[in-house]
Amino acid sequence: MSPFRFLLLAPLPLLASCIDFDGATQPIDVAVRLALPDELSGGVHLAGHTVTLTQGGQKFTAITDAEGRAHFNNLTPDQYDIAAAWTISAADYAAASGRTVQGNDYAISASALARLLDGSQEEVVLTLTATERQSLVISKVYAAGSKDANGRNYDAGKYVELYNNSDQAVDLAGYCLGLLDTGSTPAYLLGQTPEYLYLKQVFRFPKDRQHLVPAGGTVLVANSAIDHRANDAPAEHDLSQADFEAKDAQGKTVNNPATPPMELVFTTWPLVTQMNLVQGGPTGIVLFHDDRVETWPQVYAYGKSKGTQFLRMPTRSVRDGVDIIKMSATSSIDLSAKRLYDWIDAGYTTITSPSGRNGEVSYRRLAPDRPEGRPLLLDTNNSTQDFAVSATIAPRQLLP
Amino acid sequence: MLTTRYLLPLLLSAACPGMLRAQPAVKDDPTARERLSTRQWLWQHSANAAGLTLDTIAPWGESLFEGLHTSASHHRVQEGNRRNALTFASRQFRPIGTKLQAYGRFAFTQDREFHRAWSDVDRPALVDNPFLSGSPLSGHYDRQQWEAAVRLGSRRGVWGGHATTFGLAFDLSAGDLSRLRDPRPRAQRLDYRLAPALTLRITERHTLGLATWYARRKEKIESITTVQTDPNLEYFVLTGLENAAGGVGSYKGFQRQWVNHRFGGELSWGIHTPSYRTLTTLSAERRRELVEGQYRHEPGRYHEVDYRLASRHRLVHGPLLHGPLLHGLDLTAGFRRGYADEFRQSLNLTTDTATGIVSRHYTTLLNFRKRHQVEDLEAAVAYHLTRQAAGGAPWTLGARAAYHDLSIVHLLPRSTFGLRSLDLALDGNSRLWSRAAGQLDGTLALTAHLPLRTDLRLADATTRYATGVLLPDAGQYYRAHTFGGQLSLRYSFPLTLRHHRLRAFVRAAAGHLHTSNGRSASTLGLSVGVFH
Repeated sequence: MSPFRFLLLAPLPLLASCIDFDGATQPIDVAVRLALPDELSGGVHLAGHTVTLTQGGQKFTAITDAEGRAHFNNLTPDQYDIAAAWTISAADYAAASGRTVQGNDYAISASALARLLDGSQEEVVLTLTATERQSLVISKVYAAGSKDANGRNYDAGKYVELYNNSDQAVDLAGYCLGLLDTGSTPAYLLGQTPEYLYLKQVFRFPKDRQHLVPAGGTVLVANSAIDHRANDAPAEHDLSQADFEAKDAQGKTVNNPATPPMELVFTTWPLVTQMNLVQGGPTGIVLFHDDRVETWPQVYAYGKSKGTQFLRMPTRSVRDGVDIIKMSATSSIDLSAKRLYDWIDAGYTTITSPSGRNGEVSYRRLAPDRPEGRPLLLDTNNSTQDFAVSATIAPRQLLP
Repeated sequence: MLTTRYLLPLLLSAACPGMLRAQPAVKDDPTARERLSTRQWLWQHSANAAGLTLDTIAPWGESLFEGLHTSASHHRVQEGNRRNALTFASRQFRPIGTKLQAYGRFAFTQDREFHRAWSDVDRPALVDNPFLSGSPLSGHYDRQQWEAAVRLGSRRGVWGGHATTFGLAFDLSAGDLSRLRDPRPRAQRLDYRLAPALTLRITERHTLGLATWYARRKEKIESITTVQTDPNLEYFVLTGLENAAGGVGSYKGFQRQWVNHRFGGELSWGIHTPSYRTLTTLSAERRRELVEGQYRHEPGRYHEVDYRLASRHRLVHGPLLHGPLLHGLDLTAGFRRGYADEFRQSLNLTTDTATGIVSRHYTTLLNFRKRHQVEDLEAAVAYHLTRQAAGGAPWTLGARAAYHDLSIVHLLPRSTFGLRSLDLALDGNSRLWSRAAGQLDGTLALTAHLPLRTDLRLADATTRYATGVLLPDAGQYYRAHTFGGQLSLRYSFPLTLRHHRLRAFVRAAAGHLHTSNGRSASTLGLSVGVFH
């Protein structure tokens, strides 16, 4: 080829490498269908319930038809948290399941986390589960800490709050709070041992005496039962009326001698006798009642034969749990850090700062309905729906 | 900065003498040589290094120190309102033996930009890869920039016969941009380009040229540090128009790198007669930019193609040294089209059962194809008239008009941003005073920027980036009519340094720009240098 022809033809491949905007991703239409589990073959009405899609703080809702389908049109393909939940009475549950039950209502719920909706499926099927509403639920977790008026870290005011969501008084004696492992990598990934959870600390309400929590009552468990606002920490709270206190054996935190102590059943670190609630997360907590807690084995993390040991507890003992996940630097949620299985907490909650120190409390929201005028907290076994965060909510305060 | 865009090119072009044309009457006056030579350049405006010997250039060079101060109330949010810069620059045209012509340039700039926000990388966010990052808190930034360029061109007849010249261009640039307020990222950049080229004389008057190039640009932020532990520090990663993810504490663990590969080519056609010369170039460049974060998380990729067409004409009436007129007409057009794919990725943890070591890697779940789309059209026409004054240096008059049309679309949901504008400029320079002790040259330029259309339509105008950047810029900056003037005075004088006779210069420049919404921008510059 002569140089002349080469010069003329050489740039052609570059000129041919055009860019056009054809083939851009388009919005999709998708239906979410709720399916009854076998245990409810007796029938639960599927029409008229709200299905919620959540993505990045945006919520989209649709109402189910008689077949349990909720239609979403013109949706941006993405990963969505899908949830639907409502309550039926014990009598309705008995009629639908054929079982003899009495007492608490039942939550009928279905959820899926980070489900990819990309248009490849016209319909997403979620199977409903029926869960008896627990009397006692975890209603608040304050782990973030804050900054005092001089800009110094303030961690002493952390607490956990429980709420009696039933219409009967509940005796706290023997109930335990379990704090899940909080390593950057879970001790065991979800699915590796579905029958067990791994705890770094266990605190027990004294089992040698009765402590009744009335219907709609709260139980406040603090690391330091004092008025922290008096310590020049304006974002903190008055915990002087806390019901129980996780005492600091090292004496570094001011404890209230008038506040009854929590029993420390297990701790990974012998010197850490207070609730080790991690500022930015993860901070998973479970509530359980099991007399065999002292016999549960202590194990190393998966694949390890030395290092930190955790208490291995059976998941069937859990009464309630909340999975508080750490937000990453890019403000996304790392779902691989979830510790709780879907039947305990199908969702997650998170504060808005990866490093905490912003005074935010994760709290369980008030349910819209009020049976017999009694405040009820949401309990759909999905903390994505049930929980919110607030930097201003006070202990024992209830908010929607 | 806008001010920089308008003022600096004029200031630097006045201060940076270009080529040398060995004409007896101006042989000893480098400033006159510079003006004549530069105005006649054709191949030097192209990417073809083999054309280095096709424009007549005599050995010549210059070095200078320059200080520049810019202050403005008319600026974008992602630009500071004040800038102080110190530059050292040096360049030289020189033959290497009898076979090669060389050009080299080196520049180092240290500057500080004040009250800049929402931009922690060294490029404008709006018209480029959308996956950038920034803090909403304004702060000061320090920038250091090194630039080096080398061009080598062979003379005709050296290789490949009398019809062919070969050339090679290598450009290198490194930069460091540091933020001086929490959160403190540090963006480090390395950019290089290698461009081989050749020309082929087809007939006595016609020459064809071909240049190709590969360029790579990498910019990275390895981590973000803080001096204080403020729990309310926010940081955001951008994904296109008003969309930005992040919030309090999002700077923790942040790391990102942008790696840009560019392949391009340029075809040139030159015509040369004793009184008329023209060069037409057509170029295309394809660009692909990869963005990676922690554990090689990819938020997306950016693709772009850039076409440019230029036609330059030079016409001389009579011999240049005896009062002729040199007419120059430059017609240029550029069209750039790009898009960004956005990825939704999932982090997977894999635990080695033998060692317990956990590996992390991201897999792509969803690809938003062409979610962010950019189209950018520029067209300009410039005319200059140069005349050799009797016994003195040439004077020049020039006029320029440029049209710009920018369109940005972000899909799902749809947001759009459209800009259309017209830029007009008049400039002139002349020798004001000439003595044996020295000469004084003056340059005056008048500019006008006329926005024809500014249209911003956001799906969500309440996001932090929308309220912090897009809405203020669209309302105040892009809709403003601007009118400005710049004056530059350069005094050149003979200087003997270690028995070497040189010609030195001192230049002072000032510019001011006023907008229709009452804002303004001003520039002051002072440079000292020598010709060599």
